[in-house]
Amino acid sequence: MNIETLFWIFHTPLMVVFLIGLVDVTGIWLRGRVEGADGASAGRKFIILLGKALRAIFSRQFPIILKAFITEAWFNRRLWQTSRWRWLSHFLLLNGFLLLTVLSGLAALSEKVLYHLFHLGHIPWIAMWYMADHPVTALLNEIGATMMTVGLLFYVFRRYLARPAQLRTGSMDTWMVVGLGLILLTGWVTEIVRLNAHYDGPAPHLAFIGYPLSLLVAGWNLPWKALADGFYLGHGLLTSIVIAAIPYSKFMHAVATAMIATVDAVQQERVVVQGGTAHVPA
Amino acid sequence: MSRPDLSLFTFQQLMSLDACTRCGECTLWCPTFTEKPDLDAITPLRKIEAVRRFVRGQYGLLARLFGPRPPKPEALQAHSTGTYDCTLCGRCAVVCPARIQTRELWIAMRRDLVRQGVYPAIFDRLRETFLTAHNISGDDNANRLIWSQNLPEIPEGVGKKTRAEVVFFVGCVASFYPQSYSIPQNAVHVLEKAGVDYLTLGGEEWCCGFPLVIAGMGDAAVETMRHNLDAVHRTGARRLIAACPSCYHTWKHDYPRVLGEPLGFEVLHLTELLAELLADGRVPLRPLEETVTYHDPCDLGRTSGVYEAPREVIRAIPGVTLVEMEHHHQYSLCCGGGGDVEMADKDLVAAVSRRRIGEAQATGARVLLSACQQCKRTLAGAARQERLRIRVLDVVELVAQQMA
Repeated sequence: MNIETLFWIFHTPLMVVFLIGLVDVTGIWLRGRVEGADGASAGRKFIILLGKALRAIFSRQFPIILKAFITEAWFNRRLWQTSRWRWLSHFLLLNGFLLLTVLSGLAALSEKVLYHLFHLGHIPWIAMWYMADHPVTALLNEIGATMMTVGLLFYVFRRYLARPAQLRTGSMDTWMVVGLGLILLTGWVTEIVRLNAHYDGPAPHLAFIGYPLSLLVAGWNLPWKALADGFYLGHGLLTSIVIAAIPYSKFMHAVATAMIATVDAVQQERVVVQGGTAHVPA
Repeated sequence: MSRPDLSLFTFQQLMSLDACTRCGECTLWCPTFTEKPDLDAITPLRKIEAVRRFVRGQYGLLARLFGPRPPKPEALQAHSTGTYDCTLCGRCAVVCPARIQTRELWIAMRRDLVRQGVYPAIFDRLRETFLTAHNISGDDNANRLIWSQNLPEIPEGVGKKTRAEVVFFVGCVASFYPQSYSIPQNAVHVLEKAGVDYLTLGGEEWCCGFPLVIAGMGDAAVETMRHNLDAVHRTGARRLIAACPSCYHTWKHDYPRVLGEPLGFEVLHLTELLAELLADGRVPLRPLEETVTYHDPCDLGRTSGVYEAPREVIRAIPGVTLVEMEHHHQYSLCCGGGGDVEMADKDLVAAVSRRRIGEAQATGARVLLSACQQCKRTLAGAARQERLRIRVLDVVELVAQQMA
């Protein structure tokens, strides 16, 4: 059985666990009141909310929503105003994660769908996403992983060494750090051993951390190919486990906070447009 | 002990429970936690964490598979103490990186605690008094205009008119607590001088419902709200003026939502009307060489968004220098008098107000102005206790004093 089949055997049920969790959490949210849906079922409320969201997005309010999403959910303006260090740590973690997720998605889409299904692998800008040693892909992956690593180090320093009084570190925080830390560690090791097992690109230095590290250990007499497969599987499975844990853990804030911050900023903007100056919730 | 009733929360509020990252920013700004650092249950993040745990334990996947896990009574009691020791100042909402609208969330939590029967017993007395006496003090509601008794002459608008352009909604604190009588007394003085066609409702004015709404007992206030609305409609007024920020907020934002209809008249805080009258030149003022500072009442500033009107009024007095305290506008420190905390924990109120009066003193101002009866009461009490040489006045009192 090849490594990829093995990966999917474990990955698929973990994604089912993720989806079950997502439905569970959303189901709890939908037990709350929704304007215009008194006494409605969770499904009905979901449809009403979806309709409202779509109507808002496809309306003249779209620029307001987009601005709110960018400034409050993505950029996290309030954190920027509060502490540049905290903001930087959060920004690096969030955007490193987003970048790597997008690259993984593009790799899967271009290889599994556009290449295998539609035979479009000969088109360079499609093929580049599943070729790990393509200069663009290599550089972007390196940037994403570096951002996450630096962000996590800032986070660990603040939470476990600096320990400002406002923090309440619980087991959930530690599990998050362990999960992300293991993903990053196995990711870097996977890259190093893969570069020693096989390299198929013109500009290895674009992997500006992985490549120098791979040179350091290149002389070691190790079964690089087997190690590359093993670490690829381990890294992939750890990532799947962390994704599966999102709805059951504090990671869920990545979804919930983005939505809450955007909605609140839009509501506030509406009040301001109506001549008010503060947020007055409905 | 029953399960949390999630229909008491909105979809957005339940999502907020998962949006909180427990970053702790709120703890740095919480006025009650600052005074009670050993009571972690007071902090916004702990309140959210507790409810999230209760909800997940009884509605989550594991609860569905293996049965609900009710919270331990001591955990629920600690959560109740934390929730009712909150002044509902809303400062946490201003600094929350996730932009969680905390104040409304705390009120929803209180509603659920009332439903579960885990709340300070004294609130039963509040509800009883509210429903029988139609005010918060338990006095005979027919005496609502008692503050007018020692006016040199009782104006026509005070109890003698049945129709007018403006209704002056006096509020319970100004009507029944002698320390606050001077606020309506000065307010009617200014209204008379400015030639405003106004009236007061007298015994027909019932408590606006705010104390019950924030206690989590808002359902009991609906009939009262309807009574008040009908009483105002009978006057044919086009405007309602409230000197109390809590009455103002309740009228402006809660009445239309709870009663499900537009009011049919405009709601203004007294300082908004004063700013308008001053801008129109209807209230000429004498100069005053004085340095003053202004305390933003939570229900007027953060909760209702009125920051500038009171400042415009103060700046309109020639010679007056307005200096800001360390925390002002949306970051203003609570006086301690909000959230019905006074009923549950007087010492906590005193501690919060002492800190605020300290900020006022640090400005070097000799007059601390506010635009709220409750803030004035609380801050004046703190100034007395601390033996500070600072006068605590309502904005309307200073305006009346300086009228030409």
